[in-house]
Amino acid sequence: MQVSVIGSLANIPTERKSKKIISTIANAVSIGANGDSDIYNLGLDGTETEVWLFVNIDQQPWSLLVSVAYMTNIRSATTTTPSLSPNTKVFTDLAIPAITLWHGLRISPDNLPNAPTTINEAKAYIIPGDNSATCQIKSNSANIATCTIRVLRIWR
Amino acid sequence: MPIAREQQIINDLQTIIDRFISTDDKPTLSMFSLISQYNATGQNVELIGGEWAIEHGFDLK
Repeated sequence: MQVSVIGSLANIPTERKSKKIISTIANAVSIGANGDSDIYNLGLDGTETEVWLFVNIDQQPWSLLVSVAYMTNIRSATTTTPSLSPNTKVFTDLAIPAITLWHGLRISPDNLPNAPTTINEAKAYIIPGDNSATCQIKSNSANIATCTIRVLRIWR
Repeated sequence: MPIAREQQIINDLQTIIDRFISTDDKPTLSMFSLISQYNATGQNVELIGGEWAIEHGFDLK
């Protein structure tokens, strides 16, 4: 039997392509005075490297709550960095939303004394999501708030 | 929602669109801006949002 060696597997070029998908999960929804938005599914499939949320809102103060990655029926303001709670700024330019990275940990001084304070630190704590992850906006404004939420899913 | 009320809201949204003036910073009216301006009128008792506007013919990004 004759065996031919064609080439080394080490010489086969490989390329990892990054990918991003941005989805609008809440499109200019109206939130009543001192009210809560509906609960919105983030639309994840669990393969994402990073999940970012972009929030535009025209009233303040407000808070963004996002699922705890390991108990998705619970939403917390500490599962993202920076935490968007409470936020006293409005973000009315769609090109300049409030931006936060979802890592999925519910953080307290008891369970994580050295909690991530920057986005780069938070990246080390990311827990993969799944299709049950959700978010919600709480408004503490006396006026009706308009809100758009977008989810940026990245594969690196 | 009664049809008359639907039409009233449609008219109000259209008025906002008709009054929009394009600028270099904001060349087009976004759905967010449309609903935000409608909310500012204090008339949005039903808390309609972007999806309602789309369903009633307002195709804004």
